Amino acid sequence: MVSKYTMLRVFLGSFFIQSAWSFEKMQGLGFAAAISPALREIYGDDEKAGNDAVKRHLVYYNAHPYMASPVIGAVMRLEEKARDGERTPPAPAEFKNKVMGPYGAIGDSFFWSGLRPLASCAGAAAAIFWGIWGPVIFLAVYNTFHLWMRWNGLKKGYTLGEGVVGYIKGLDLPAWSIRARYAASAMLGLLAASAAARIPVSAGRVHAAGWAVATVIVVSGAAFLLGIFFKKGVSIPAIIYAAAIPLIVYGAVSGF
Amino acid sequence: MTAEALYDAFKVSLAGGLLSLDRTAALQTMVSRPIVAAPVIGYILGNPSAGLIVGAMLELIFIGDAPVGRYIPVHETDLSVMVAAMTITIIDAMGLNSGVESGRRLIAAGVVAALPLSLVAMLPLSRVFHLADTFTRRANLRFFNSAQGAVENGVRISLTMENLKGLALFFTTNALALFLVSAPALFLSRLIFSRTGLHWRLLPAFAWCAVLGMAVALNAVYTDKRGALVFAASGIAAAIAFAFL
Amino acid sequence: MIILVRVDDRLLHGQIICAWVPFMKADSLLVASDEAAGDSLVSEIIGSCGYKGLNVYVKSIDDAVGRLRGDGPAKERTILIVGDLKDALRIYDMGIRFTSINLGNIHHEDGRRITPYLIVNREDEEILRRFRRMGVSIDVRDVPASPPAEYIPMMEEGRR
Repeated sequence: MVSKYTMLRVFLGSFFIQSAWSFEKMQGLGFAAAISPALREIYGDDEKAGNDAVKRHLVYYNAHPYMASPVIGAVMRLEEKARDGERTPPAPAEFKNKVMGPYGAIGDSFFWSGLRPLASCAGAAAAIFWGIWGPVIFLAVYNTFHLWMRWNGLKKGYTLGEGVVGYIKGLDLPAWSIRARYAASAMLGLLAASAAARIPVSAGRVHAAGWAVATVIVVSGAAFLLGIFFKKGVSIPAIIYAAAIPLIVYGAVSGF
Repeated sequence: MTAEALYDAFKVSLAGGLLSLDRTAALQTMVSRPIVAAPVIGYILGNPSAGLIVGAMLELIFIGDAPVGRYIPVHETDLSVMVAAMTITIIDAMGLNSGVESGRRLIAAGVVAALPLSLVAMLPLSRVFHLADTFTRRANLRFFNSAQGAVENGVRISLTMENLKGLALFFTTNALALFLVSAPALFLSRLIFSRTGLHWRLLPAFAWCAVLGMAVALNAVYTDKRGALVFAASGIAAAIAFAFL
Repeated sequence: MIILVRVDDRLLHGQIICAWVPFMKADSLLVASDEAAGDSLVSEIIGSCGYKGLNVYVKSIDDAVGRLRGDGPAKERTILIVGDLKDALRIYDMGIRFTSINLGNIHHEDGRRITPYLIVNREDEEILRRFRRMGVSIDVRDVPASPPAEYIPMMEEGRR
């Protein structure tokens, strides 16, 4: 068993897994740097074996940054088993190679496509009502899950070894990603309505409600059109230029 | 005026460089996202509320672009830092955030006037940030190779130190790119807008950016027809609440 | 129905789930790889990327072709993922027709570098030439949002 102190060092190292991100090796150096304190401890006095272990892990690696934690944990356990001469488990380097692609997919789909948009929409909606608390809520919603995955993932990986695969599967993150997107849609509805009710032209409650409904309809229509444009390969900057420049010129010229 | 612009550019580049580290090199706690980065710049330049409006809007516009694999999206951190800095500088130059006239309404008017302009001006320049970023990601291979060389030869080195050299490079290139863009941008903003007063006439351009942000976000979280229904239902429920509460 | 054929040596990962699936409105992913299908750990992990609304299948090349021939539900909008060009050609030669092939990730150590994610060796170039002759267009893109890179085949002999 590695010590609590080493576990903490690996945990902190996991926050720097992309510090030396490069096109060729991606998170390779970061992964090796994060796990090396554990490898040195696992192989203890056997300097050569420790060095070989570090060498094994100083290779191309890429997945979602948070999903490295369960992998690092599992690899630590597998390295221990390898040291003890157990033959049954998959070799650590091989295990790492097999899981990185799918774990990248699971992490990207939950954190980038599900949780972060939800936190963004919640934060932006909160900013309308409570100002500077908006960003605070954004960070709180997002990082609760983020930090949980980094810490809990590392611990579970170390406890379960290759069995962490079943654990991650059991979390059913892809399904939660879809749920998060429904929740984000709800937040956006609230956001659209409140943003409209806040613009200064609306006077009176019923008036504000009318603006709110109008905005919800306009945003739905715009989102539908955007879907068509994106499909045709039009980029977001292009859409911003196309509409904003004429409107700016109009605004500037109409003043004279 | 030049000294002020340079000092602001210096502060913005330093803070932006640090915030950007969170985007790739370290932590990934999302303080690099527009909704956090822009208000921080606002706080540094003495106008957090303007920063917050910029942040919320850019957060939505760049909601879906994620770093998957080797694909590197628009540098949303540097872009938000620059849009916030330029918006606030324009507001200052127009005299809306100082003296007897300052107030919430005026700041709002300033944001309306300055945000679309700043966004349109800064978007093409985000290419500079992209280049700095790409350069770093190429150069970082060097640290990997030197670490590998040491390990192969059985030399015991600190991988952590080699790894952190990448982080230092990320910071340096990014902060330099930010300074390169922000120094002239902030100076010109002060120069051009010191005698202008563009108030509510730019509301349509501002409203367009807001609608676009929400539409991009809706498009990004779209799953199926049920998602669209959830959006509409929640919006209309909120509208009814506004009417009666 | 096959809506996209993707060559990716990392098989299933974030670019496919987060970018291609929503872009193509896919509701099924078919990973055709003898190696992955023969490894229970790999098929379990790849399988766990699915959710309600996205079915993920990991099959050997033969089983995948069987499924595509009509054993599987024909209505599913399927993204077919193969690990390398050899497998893509094998599937094509077994009678599964497609008009375009997306090159996502190919890293062959000693190959020619076209983009950071696409390094092709002589054998790959030969297969790509064959695909071209058969009228299959070649789409070099890691994610839908990135600008498509042009694939220019290497000169027939000599000149690199």
